[in-house]
Amino acid sequence: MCSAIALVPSVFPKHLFEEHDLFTRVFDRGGNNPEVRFAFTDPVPLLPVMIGGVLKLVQWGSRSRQGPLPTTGWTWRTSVESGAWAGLGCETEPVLILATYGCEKNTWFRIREGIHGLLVTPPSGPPCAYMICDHPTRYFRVLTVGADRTPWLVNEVI
Amino acid sequence: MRFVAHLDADCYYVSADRVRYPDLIGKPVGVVGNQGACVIAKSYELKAQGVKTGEPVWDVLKKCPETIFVKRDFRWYEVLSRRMLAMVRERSEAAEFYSIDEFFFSTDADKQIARGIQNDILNNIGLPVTIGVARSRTLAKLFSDTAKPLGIRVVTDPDEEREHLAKLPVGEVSGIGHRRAAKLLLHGIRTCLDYANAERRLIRGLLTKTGEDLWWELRGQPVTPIRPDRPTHKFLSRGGSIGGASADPNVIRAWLVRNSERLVEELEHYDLKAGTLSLSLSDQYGGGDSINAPLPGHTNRYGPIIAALLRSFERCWQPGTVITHMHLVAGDLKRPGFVQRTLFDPPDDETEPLAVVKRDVNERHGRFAVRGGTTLFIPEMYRDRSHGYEICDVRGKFCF
Repeated sequence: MCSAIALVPSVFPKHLFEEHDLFTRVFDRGGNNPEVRFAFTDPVPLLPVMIGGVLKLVQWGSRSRQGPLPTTGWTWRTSVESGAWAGLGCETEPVLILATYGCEKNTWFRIREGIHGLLVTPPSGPPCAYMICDHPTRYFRVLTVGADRTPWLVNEVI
Repeated sequence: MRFVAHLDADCYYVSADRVRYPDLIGKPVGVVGNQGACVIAKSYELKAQGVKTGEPVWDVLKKCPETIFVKRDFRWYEVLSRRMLAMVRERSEAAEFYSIDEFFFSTDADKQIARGIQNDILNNIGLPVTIGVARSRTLAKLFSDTAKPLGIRVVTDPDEEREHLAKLPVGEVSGIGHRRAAKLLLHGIRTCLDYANAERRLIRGLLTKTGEDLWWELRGQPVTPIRPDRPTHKFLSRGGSIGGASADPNVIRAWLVRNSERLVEELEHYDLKAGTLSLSLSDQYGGGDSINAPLPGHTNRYGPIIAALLRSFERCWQPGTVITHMHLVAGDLKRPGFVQRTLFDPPDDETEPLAVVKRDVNERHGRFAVRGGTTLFIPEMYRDRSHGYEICDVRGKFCF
């Protein structure tokens, strides 16, 4: 799994910083090289995704028990590929979640390109993005001390 | 007069990753090894938190929770290493590819030459390196180790040399580990200068010829020359961890096939045939067994090699024994034209055309595109391409 991601601030256009008050999410772990963090546990959980070639911030999964959406931030790759989401009656679209670093079980790791995501638009309400997960490799399980899921990374396996 | 220079890249794997991921600059970074458990390289930011190379990830996190872990990528590290080597060879008539991040080369005592190489590498590749120049390679390595990071230390005057040696513990000498240092301590030898001043016979008696060679080198007398080319291997080996403990014979055999295929690749690359072969298995308790795998004659063909290894495996492995590591070692290596034929040599290998096809397909479509079916029991090793290239696959270097 991946419970938080971080990105270099330079990828965000200025208006996104202001619209979503990203300044509160800026963190510097050293080197005067700050990053913007997004965690599922944030009061407003967001994910940076590329939609139609444009970077947008959308809601990370769903916490609402009302409506058709599952109350989680992740989905299995097998669920997506088997068409399980088609039965929800929502529009779905594969998206790229931009991420420079990912975090699982308090372990941060470098991500090359990003993570596969699923953008789901319910009939009423704003779209939200689910992070697509896969079964972890032994390497990832050891690195994260027992994670039972790994983010489905773009052109990369950890 | 020509001197020996030792070039050592500063926290190489981390620096190499920072070349392609500049966002890592200034952050605590740990490069994780083959199993995902231990840090094989650390940034200076992590070192400042007390993290040591070889520490498990979970211990690193206790010291520095903000550490960013990067998965090792030896293909990338080799690319940058060879670019560094090419730059050194442009400036020196003799350069030795000692390890992926260390080279020896001949040079003048002029600090500007070393500075030029250092700047070239930093500006053109983005890697910080430290260079030591001295009368012998052992001295040059000692001095570069004390000048890190991004330093240059040229010490060619014997008096200045002795001043430096007096400050360095003898354990700092490459080739003198903890046990040898403890042995030397019993004779009052604490510093490198003590070692250089000791009686030659005493050193020879304590540490054999290897110790005596170091003794000469510490006195400024080069024993080992700079070797621009690696001499022919005496042994070739492949193996290591089998990716977690296992008592499943299918998994262990799969690793046997994987390691055999890698060993055959090496034999073919160096155009060598093995006369002897041995198999070592280590169990979960640190014990294990090593057994010869008799070959029908000198060979570099997969068929007879895997057949010999499988026979030996059945002899030395007891069902239920949990295996953690495996090593295959090929010895008595000879070039094809130098193998003595006997009256009882087996006929020419009928599988030779198959081996040629396998090699061609793998060259075109990627390593292990065609491989033994037995390896289907370890699919994870082939799902991730990074497992297909390890530090021992970087050819031409002297040291691991």
